[in-house]
Amino acid sequence: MGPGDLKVNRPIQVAIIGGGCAGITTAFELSSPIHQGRYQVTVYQQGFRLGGKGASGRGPVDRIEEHGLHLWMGFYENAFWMMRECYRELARDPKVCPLAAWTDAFVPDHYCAVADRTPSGEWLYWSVKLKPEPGLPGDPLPAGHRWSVAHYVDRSLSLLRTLLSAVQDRTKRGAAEPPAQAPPRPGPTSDELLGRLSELLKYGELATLTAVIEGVKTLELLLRAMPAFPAGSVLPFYEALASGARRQLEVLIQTDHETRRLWEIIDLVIAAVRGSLRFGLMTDPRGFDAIDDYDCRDWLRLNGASERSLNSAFIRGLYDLAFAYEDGDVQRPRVAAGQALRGTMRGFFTYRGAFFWKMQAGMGDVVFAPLYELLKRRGVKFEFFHRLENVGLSAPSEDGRRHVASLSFDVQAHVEGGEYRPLVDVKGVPSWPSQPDFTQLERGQEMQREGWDYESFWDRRCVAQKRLLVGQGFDLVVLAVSVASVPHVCRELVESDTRWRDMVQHVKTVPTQALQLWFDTDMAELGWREDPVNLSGFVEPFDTWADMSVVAARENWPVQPRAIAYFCSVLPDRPETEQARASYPAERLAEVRQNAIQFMQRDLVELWPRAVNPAGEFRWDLLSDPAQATGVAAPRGAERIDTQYFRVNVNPSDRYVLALPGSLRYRISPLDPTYDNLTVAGDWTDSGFNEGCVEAAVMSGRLAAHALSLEPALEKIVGFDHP
Amino acid sequence: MAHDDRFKRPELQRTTPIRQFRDARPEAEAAPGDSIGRGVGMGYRVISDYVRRGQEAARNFSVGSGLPAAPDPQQLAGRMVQYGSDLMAAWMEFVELSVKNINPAAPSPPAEPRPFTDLEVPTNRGDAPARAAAPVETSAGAVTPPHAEPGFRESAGPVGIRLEANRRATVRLDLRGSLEGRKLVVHDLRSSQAREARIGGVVFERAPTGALLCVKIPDDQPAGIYNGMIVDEDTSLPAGTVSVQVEP
Repeated sequence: MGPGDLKVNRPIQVAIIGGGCAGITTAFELSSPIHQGRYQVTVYQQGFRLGGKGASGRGPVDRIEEHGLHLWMGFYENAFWMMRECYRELARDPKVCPLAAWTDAFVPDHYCAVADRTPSGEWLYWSVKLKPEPGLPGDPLPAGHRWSVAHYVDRSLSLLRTLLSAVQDRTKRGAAEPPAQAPPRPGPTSDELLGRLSELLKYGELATLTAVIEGVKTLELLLRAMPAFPAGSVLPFYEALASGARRQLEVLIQTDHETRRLWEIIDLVIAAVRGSLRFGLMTDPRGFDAIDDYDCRDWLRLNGASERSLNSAFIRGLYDLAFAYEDGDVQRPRVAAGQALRGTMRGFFTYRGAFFWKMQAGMGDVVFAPLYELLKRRGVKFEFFHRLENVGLSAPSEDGRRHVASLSFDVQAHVEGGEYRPLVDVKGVPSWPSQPDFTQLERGQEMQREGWDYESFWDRRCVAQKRLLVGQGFDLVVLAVSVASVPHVCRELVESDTRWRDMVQHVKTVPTQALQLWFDTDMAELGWREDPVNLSGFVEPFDTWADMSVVAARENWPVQPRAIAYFCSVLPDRPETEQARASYPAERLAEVRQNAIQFMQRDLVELWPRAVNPAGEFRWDLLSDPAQATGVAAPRGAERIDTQYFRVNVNPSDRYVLALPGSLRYRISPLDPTYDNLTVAGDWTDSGFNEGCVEAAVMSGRLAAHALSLEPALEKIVGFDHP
Repeated sequence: MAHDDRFKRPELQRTTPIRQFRDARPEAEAAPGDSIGRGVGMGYRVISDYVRRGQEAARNFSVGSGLPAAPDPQQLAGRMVQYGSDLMAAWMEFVELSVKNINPAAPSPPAEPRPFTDLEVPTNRGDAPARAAAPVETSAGAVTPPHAEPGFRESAGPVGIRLEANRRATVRLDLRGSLEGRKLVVHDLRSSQAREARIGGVVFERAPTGALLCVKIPDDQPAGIYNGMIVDEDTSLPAGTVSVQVEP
């Protein structure tokens, strides 16, 4: 019997395990008014807050404390669609809540930057303002809209031509007027002769570049006109163009840093297009998946990218943003080429409005608080303090199939009055606190005193166990925990099903670290001369930085900080034997603290030259201290780091999911029909966009909803049908 | 609830994404023939313009220095020509194959690339003798040589060109296959430099010695390079291009 064939007149009970992006998306879909209450959804959540890797909390002075650095990208069509629907239906009163509309909560951010180290060791910053594109993410797409590799090749060629023109412009500026304009002058000296030879050389290179640009233009036009893609005939032409461009590269690379960066990207685009042609991606039914066994760098190298380009800031930035380092080892950058290409193409060629969108408060406040409020209003139940311990399977039926027969939870706390109210109001914004409200819990004061940590994998304390049986406590299950948790909570599944065993073995995760700093001075005074940016490719241990000064107004400081900076990075993993130790999270947190101190003392000067005193020491007194208003003296020197926020994400549920080469085929789709009352959701599943990000999680959540209810139609899940 | 009465997931029509639509092509911005025509025209323009500028640069350098042409400028010019030749060869191969791809029934290109009629193809690599360019008829009807420069190939086909113009202009014709039995039409010539400008009325006429391509340049025609497609009216397949360079 399926949902469309009800024999009893009661709602179908759906248990969603895990309140991260994916699980909440499934709840959002199944509680949609279109289902007319057919699904009774209950979300089971460990601890006291929703969000998973997107959770945030309010700490001292209601400052925002994030799990990590979150930037929404302009191609997150599904995620933005959901948030826009959520804010619309919630209809907050703007007089009461400053984040009443989705446009209050998300603001376009056009600046993207990478850090680039010159051969002499100097750090340079390449900041780009990516132009706004028409429309807004989440807007309906034109009817019949389809993406294709050919479309991306077409866009890549346009980009290539633009970049080549940019180089040409720079070369023109660098070159003297063409010799034709020079007045005749007898008897040049040898120096003059050499100088003019050099000018002529540049002019000649310029002419050749013109030919290459026009050749690219020709290729674009012809590709658009082809009824079927003539890969065999395009390649020789493209090879000639690439060859011409590369000859230019080696000459122009010496000119200046800006030209070099442009050429590095040109080289990468050339390699990507060449690879798309050589590997037949235009017609391969697998689309970009066809090259997922290659590492992205290796694949680009295979298609002619130079080592210089492969080690460029742009590539490093892409790896950094995806934490794409196996086992957290920065010496082992690895990401599946197909997914990397898909993500890059989506990122650069399909964004709407802005390349980045910046949240105007914590992700918990901007995303999960309104979703929680709306879902509550729709009748979704939330069971906080429920930690999944086991997914029990039935005995095999006659056809050998099994289903989920039971769900076992540790109940971490009993709530006074039965229902936990998780949100707090901060300046009109419903927000999640960083700590549970112990006053709502039975024996709460005692638990607080004993330091119960409901979100720690290593704190196994509980007050009771609960076991739900199929047909009684639930009918259908959405497993929306993180993949790193699966071996711990789905032992029967992993032991009995080789696909699940392969999945947990091959779909790997890494720990991450995050650092947030508040300053009593602004970025310009710290020495940052560029626009507020989101920067990747910087030095370890914190390679990615975003200027988040914009959220200062949402916090509750006696004196508002003038600058806020978020940093994040991957964290090297440790052997499982070490991870089993109860002291492991504390040890790793201490390591992050030390990393932060070292980073601020040694590396931050490269970003902010005025953050150090004349002796070259970090000016710790610039850091805002939340305890300042209480009259408690602020710690001095490096100890002041303890007034800031840093965290280590080593819990299985906190670890970032990688897209390693050769691993994506082991992912299990939410649409997989093996278990007739179970589906999965999360950015670790085969969601069509197999990369750790909000959009992948939302897509997966929508797919899980489709698996249970046939809604939304797959065609409505933007980017699922995509090469 | 009995075991069989469990709620189960519905049957799904499909469980995987569509990674490749069979007709997944971006909307064509222009008809194939037109695009190819523009591509062909641009290719000609680029190569000839590129070679011309390189040669001018080399020549002016020599004049400007007051010295005999040094080996290096020649080397530079040769290098540029080499680039252009490489590019041109690959480009032509692509166009030919692409045209065939549009209509697999289209005739294969000749085994050996057929020389262009009056195309300024660089050949001064030292392995081909310098030749005069093809005849061009002026508006007065007198046959005059084009601005002959070393390194041009002569006309190889039985097609003459009649140019009516009150200022200097160069016509280049690339015609593929025999004229015999074919009805050819010439699309308006367009310029990528002056987008609105056109040269229309370009036609093939019979002549005692074969055929004559007739081109008339209006007095107010903006200077620039204009390209147009030659199409076989019966098959709608591209048959070549006409390129006209109108001097200021």
